[in-house]
Parts: sequence; structure tokens; C-alpha cells
Amino acid sequence: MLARFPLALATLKGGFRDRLLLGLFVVSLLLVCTLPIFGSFSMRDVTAAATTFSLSAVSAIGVLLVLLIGSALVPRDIQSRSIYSVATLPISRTRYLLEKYLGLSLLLAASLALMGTLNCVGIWLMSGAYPPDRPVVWGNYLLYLIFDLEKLLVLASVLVFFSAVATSSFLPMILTLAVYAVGMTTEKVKLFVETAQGAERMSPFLRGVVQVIYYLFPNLTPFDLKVQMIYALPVDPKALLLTSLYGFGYVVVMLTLASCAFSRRDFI
Amino acid sequence: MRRLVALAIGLLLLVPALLALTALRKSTPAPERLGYRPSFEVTFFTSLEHRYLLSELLFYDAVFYYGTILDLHQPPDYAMLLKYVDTSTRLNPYNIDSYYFGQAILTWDAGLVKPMNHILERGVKKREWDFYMPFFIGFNNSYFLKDYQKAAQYMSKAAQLNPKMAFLSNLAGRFYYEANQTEQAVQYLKVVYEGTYSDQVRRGIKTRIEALETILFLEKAVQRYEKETGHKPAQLADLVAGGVLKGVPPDPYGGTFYYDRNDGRIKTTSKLAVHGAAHDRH
Repeated sequence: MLARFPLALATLKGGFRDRLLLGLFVVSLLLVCTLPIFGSFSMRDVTAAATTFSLSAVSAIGVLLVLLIGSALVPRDIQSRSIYSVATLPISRTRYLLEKYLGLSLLLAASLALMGTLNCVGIWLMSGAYPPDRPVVWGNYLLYLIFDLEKLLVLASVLVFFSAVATSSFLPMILTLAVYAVGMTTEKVKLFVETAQGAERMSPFLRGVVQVIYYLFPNLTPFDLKVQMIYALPVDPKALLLTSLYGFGYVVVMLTLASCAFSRRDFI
Repeated sequence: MRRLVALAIGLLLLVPALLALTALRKSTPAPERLGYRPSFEVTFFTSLEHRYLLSELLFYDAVFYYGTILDLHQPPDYAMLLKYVDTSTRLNPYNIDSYYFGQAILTWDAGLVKPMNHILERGVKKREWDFYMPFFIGFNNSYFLKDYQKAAQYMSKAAQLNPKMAFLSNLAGRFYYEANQTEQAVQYLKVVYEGTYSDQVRRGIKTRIEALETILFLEKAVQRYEKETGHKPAQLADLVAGGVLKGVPPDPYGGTFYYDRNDGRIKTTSKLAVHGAAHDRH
């Protein structure tokens, strides 16, 4: 199946060659080992405290992976001039970009699956030793991983867009980091300015800016299902469906824009 | 050869310095200062997707500070601790650790009962399954605020959430009356004791239970003295002189128990707290 997408396969193999999964395996093992230490300070719900720590760590490592692997994806080909040999192949620039994105997505999925599995063992052991207030809902854990991956895919599409227009790997990384920060905050700020207190404290102009930012930047908060996992809270299927559609739509838009920019780009 | 010399010089600098530094840090444990007053707005908007982790870290900060300051026999900054508990539970209204810590420390030792009840209401709304939330508010209303009707409402709610603890509904009925407050407090503390993994908190609760059980014992001794002699004792020494007691037991908090003739209750000079409780019935 992947043989039909040679560049995606090459990107994936590049990740394996760089021993990315081995590094993540070691980091995940360390993380699992630190769970009892972090949880031990809890007074009442040791498993919830340890799960909070582990989910935050997995999400943070995921964002780092997008930034560190994704930012080098296209600029490295340009700087090493291997883009010229790719340009001679009978594939379009759009396909090149999409296959790079597909390769990155597969790498992220494999990384998250590895970290998720090891963490799952850690949380399972913790919940056995310190039964939580409410039993762990493993379905929520799976949903958390799936939606965290979708969040990373949205970020990766933004990164690919910036990589398509920028000349260095540093700029796309910094810009994507900024988009991540805005994406995780924009919903909170929008909800705040829509309250009576927010309306009182902010000028109509600033409130307008907040609205524009909310609709322009990706809203990453709905992809965050940590609290549902930690406290075994019910999930809203409608919200999940809308979130996945929103994420998919955002990826399509960003990749289309990236394709437009990349097609017009001059490499000489 | 040069590399070996360089390595040796590096190690000669590093190892003694590390050992000396470790010893220095160990011998002078500076009290953990809660210098940073967390603002909810700032922490909320800057926490990105880690508000739950930040909430837990704020709670850990508060606990470490409290532990260190107690070891140094210094009075804790309760107002700052309240701020930490408040911000932590606003960042994550499900964070049971912060509610537990606030209830264990801020109500008994600092008398911050009303602000703590306000914070606990947050937990009642979010932790709908947790009997501890209405249980804490119910107890606070009865024991500290003497609002028995409200206490009974919350205790009924707690009993509904945890039918296994039948005595809760029993307590709910009894909270209509002021009688037997000490016994209620002992029963309350036993539930709190069972609910925590923290050895530090358990030790604190155990001491309080011991003190309250001693008060209960002395209250019963006073009743027996009254029955036998027909009048109230002037002081606890009368119970010893009258043969009701062999001696007045010591207060685990280091104070001295005494009998207050004005309200007929047993009290202690320690007020059941390491630094003197601000809001204790005894």
C-alpha cells in the first residue's frame, strides 16, 4: 500500500533510521517510571495525579515531535538540494508535499501509539496499586490518543504550509509554535470576551480582533480530552464528531494553501 | 594524555564541589516560600493544554511549603495557601487533592471556613459522584458555622452519594442539634483519615482524633462527676480529687486541658493546632 507513496515511505523510514522510536521508547519508559513518584505526593487520588502528569507529558512530547521533525521536512530537501532530483521525477509538487505530510502523519501516529501503549501500562499498574475514585475508562484513553493525534495533524498541516513558503526550517518552527499557543488559548479568550466582565474590560475593537483570531487560527482546545480520561467523565459524541470534521477540514484547507504556495515557488 | 589531564581537572573541580554543595543544601533547608501569588487569569490563559497539570503543581507547591514551614515551627501564610487552593480548583474543579488539603488545613488551623465552603461548592457542582464534597460542607456548617439545617441538607446529599456509609444519614439527622459535637468531629475525622494516602495528613488527623477522643472522655467524666456530686466541677483537678479520674491526660498538641464553667465544655490551651487554631470549638 505504502509502496504507492514512495516519498511518504521514505519520510517514515527516515524517522526509523534516526532511531526516533527507540528514543521515544526510552523517554516513555522513564515517564512510566516517574509516574509513582509524581503520584505519591497526591493526598487522595494518586492515579488521577499520575495520569494528569503522563497525559500532559505525552501531549507535550507530541507537539515537540511535530516541531522538530516537521520543521526540517521540506527545508532540509531544499538546503541539501535533493529537491532538484525530486523535481525531475514524474510527480507534481503538490504530490511531493502531500506525501511528505503523509509520511510525517504516519511517523506521528507510530510515535503516539508507542508512547500511548507504554503509558497505558503505567496507568494500569498505578490504578491497580491505587484504585481511583472512578474506574479508568480505557475507551476515553483511546479517544484522548486519537484526538491528540488529530491535533498534531492539524499542527503538522500548519507547519507544512509555513515550510512551503519559508526558506529556513527555523521560521516555520517558531510560527507553528505560535499557532499552537494561539490555538490552545483562542477559545478561552473568546469565551472570556463574550462574558459581561470581558465586555466591560475590553474595547469593541479588541473583541473584534479576538473573534477574527478565533475563526482564523485553529481552535485546538476541543481536541483536548485529558479531563475526560483522568476523571472518567462522559464524552459528547456530537462534539467529538464536529471536532474531527473541523480538524479534517482545517488540514485540507492548510494543505491546499501549502500546495498553492509551493507550486508557485522558485527554488533557484 | 592531555585529555586525561583535562578530564582529571574537571572531575577534581566537579566532585568535591558537588559533595560540598549537596551538604550545604542539606544543612540549611530554606523554607519553601510561596512568594508567587498565582493569578487565575494569568495561569488559565497561559497554561495552554496543561491546566490540569498546573493545578496539580500548584497543589504540590502548597503542600511542600506547608510541610517545610511546619518542620521549621514557623506560622504558615494561610491567606496565600487559600489563594493556591482557590486557583488550583479553578484551573481544575475536579482536583480532589486541593479540596482535601484546603479542608484539612484551612478550616481547622486558619478558620477560613466560609471561603473554603465557597471553594467546595465548586467541587459539589463538578464532582457529582463524590460524597466527600457535600460531606465536608455539611461538617463545616455544623461544627464551625452552627448552621444545622444547611448541614443536614449536605449530609443527606453525602449519604445519598455513598449509601455504604449509613452513619452519614444518621449524622444528617443529628446535625439538627448541637449536642454531641465532639463525637461528630471524631466520626468526621475517621472518614477523612480513611480517604487519604498521605502519611503526613494521616499523622495530623490521628493526633486530632486522639485529642478529641480525650476531650470526649473528659466530657463523659464531667457528666459522671455531676451525677455523683450533684454539682459541676470548678476545674479538672476536682475530677481527680473526687476519684472520677486517676489523672488529667496530656494534650497531644502540647497544651493543657481545662474545664470552662461558662459553657461547660472541655477546652485546651493548644486550641488543637500546632500554631493555635483560629477557629476551633475547643
